[in-house]
Amino acid sequence: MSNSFVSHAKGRYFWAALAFVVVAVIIYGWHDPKQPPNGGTWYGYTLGTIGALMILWLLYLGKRKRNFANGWGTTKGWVSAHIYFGTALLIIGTLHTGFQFGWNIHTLAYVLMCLVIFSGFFGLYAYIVYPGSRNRLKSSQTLDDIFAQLEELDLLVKKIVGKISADNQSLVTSAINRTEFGGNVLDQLVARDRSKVMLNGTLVDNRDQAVVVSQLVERLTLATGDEAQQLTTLVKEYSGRQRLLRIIRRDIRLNAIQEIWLMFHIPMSFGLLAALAAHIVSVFIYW
Amino acid sequence: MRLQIRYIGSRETTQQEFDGSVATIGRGGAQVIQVTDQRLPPVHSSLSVIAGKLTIAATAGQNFVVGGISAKKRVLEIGEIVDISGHAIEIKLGEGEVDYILEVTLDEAHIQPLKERHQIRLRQTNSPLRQISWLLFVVCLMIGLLIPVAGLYFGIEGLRESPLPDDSMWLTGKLHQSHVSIGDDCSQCHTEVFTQVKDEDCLSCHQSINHHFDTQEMGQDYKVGDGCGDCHKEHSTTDSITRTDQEVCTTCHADMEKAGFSVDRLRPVADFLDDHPTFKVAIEHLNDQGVWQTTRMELADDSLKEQSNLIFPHDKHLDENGINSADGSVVMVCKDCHEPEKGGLRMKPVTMEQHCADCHELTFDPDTPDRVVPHGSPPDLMRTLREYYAYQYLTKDKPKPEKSVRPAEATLDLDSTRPIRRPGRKSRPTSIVDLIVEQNNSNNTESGGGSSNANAYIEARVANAAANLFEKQTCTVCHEITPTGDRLVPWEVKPVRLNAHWMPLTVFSHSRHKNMQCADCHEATLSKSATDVIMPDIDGCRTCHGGEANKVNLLNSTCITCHDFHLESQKPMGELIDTELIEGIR
Repeated sequence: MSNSFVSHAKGRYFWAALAFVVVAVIIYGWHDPKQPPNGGTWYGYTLGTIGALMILWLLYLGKRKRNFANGWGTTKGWVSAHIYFGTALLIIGTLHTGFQFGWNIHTLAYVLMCLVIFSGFFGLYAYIVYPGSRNRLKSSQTLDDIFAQLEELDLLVKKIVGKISADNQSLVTSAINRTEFGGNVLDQLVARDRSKVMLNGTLVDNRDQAVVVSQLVERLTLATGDEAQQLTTLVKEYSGRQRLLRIIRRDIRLNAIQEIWLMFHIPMSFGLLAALAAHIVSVFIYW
Repeated sequence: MRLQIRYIGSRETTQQEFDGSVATIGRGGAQVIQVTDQRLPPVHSSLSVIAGKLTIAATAGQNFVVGGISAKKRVLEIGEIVDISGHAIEIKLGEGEVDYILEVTLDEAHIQPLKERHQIRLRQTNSPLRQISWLLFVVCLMIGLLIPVAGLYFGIEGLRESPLPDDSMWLTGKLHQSHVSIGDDCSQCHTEVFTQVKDEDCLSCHQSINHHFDTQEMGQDYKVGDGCGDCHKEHSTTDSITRTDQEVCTTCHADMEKAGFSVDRLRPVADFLDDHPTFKVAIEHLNDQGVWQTTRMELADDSLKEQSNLIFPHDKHLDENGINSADGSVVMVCKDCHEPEKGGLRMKPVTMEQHCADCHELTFDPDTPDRVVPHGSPPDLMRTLREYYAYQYLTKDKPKPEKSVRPAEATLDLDSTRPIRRPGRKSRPTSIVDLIVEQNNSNNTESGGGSSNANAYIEARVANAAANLFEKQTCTVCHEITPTGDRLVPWEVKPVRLNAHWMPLTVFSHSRHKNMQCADCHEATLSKSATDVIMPDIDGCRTCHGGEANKVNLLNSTCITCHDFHLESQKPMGELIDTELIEGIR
């Protein structure tokens, strides 16, 4: 499990953030602003200032991550603090609003903050759940190990098919060369398989290598003697290739899901930063 | 077009056949001739037969080399070699059904292993994360700040009319319902940027709003804040923008002396339920100079008496068995006389003409029961009587006028008069005065008349009627009558003033309490005299109203539930906004 940032330093930041939130909520319940609670009361300004500083600090983590060798603290510690204080920010920000929302830049900043935090929640979930399932999928091997096996298998398959017929060789070589996985963001997320094979002079879809396997099996049924034996081996090895490709595609897909939230989390953070600046400046323009 | 494609490798040669009209060449797996070199685009060029000749055409921006000459489109001859980034395709004539044989020799140094041909991680996809991030940053900043700010300097009106985001983006909440007319014109209140709304901005509209006390004497220090915005906060709720907490008032009123005021008539108050003085009422009374004067007295004061000078027993009028009237027995209820004004704050004034005269008729002559004397002025009353009897004297020998209202009784014949009768009383015998007047009249008539006779006739009648009205039957029922010794106006009535506002320092709405019975607060049925003050004290209110901290399931009632801060009796706030006026006072 690569989620040790959750329990980092015996959950030091969890307890710190929890205490922080509890104190903030208690003060909210206790304070009497003599008007409906909002961001403009003494406590509203206090929470707003704390929230804004927290946002800047949490954004700083994005930069901090890239040069984690520098400065004090460990990256794991920073991530742990980022998670717990980011979650605390949801409560602090909400209390700051005084539960007043509208179609304005202030609520936009709040909504962006929530989107950033909730996408972070998904990221946390992904980082807790997916590495484990990916590891089980690959039987604790790396993806490079799987690719090495695939390369080896491709050589073996080519070698076997070279002994049979030019026809089969053409089919299998074409299928190997035209095997596809990954691709753009969407391809990776849905594990799209654009593999092709040249069959009887035309390029046809070879999703999950199904066409090749069925072609080989079909040819096997017609073959006899030595050819039949070699085709049997070929089908067996090619099925192994098919299985490896499935693992590769699934791993790419899980990895994409595990990382896709960042493509949301980071741009939303930038939007939040701008909306926050607009929010702060504008409330003082029309004070 | 039927092609045989031979891939010539260092270790092996494979061949594929293709049957189609266009054979594409490129990096992608979907290309007929696949060259897995990452320098090439997914589709580099295509082969087709045009006018019987094999022709190669590169896609936009690509080219190839044939015979040392770079080209974009070219007819290929047998034996020619097409060079695409070092990869060679030699054109050979086909055999049998195959039209052409293409021998593809790939530059293996540039051929990618399968693993590297595709993006297998999101970070390899070159997704424009950074660009999207900055775009979102700029969009939010433009919408939320830059465009509206530009509007402030280049004309916000034009911006508001355009579909672009304007300063309404900054609106933190709806305006109070009474400020709705301001609409989206923020600058009506926010006159200066980066400056809090000033009192002048509020007072430019609220010109009639008054101070709480005399700022000439006490300065403008309201302790809880000097500005409008200290008590009135906009953009939070649409129903009230006014602080309702007790602290606004108790900061000073809990201990006026400690707050620096020496106002001894204001008693300390901290909470309506726990610490509020008993009520005082404003009693109006005539002073020695005959001028009405208001004195505030404790309701609990034993010497408290209403001094309206009216004689009026509430209990008799509210007798549940009814009270005799000219039209028989009537059961009266409070609202017969006491009606709230529109808006429900005070009661409409009770008047003789509107509320009493139906029963308490001011008739004076049984012969003309439709004639009444005017109410309110003894001189006017006497004048009316004199005019009436003078006219009667002049017309007493003339034919009788057409019978007017009650024909059976309209007669000048004194012998058949209907005795004047107070409602509910039995008729009385003719008094001795009547007999004397009658005697005088007959004497005067017999002697032939004349001015002295007329005078005697009129004065005797007037004296008789006036005495009946003032002392016996009418005025004295409700009023204190004293003889004056004056011949023209022999009696005077003690002036009456009904209290119009018992508690002038509170705002009490009768209409907001209309679901209660009058008797819940006013014990009118037990009041035998008009000197009784039947106003409720604080305990009555506290059966429903609690203080600020609602501890015992009572209505949450703070100072401004019943009291105004801005007092009508004080000067407009705007008048003293000019701080020069109060300089030296602070």
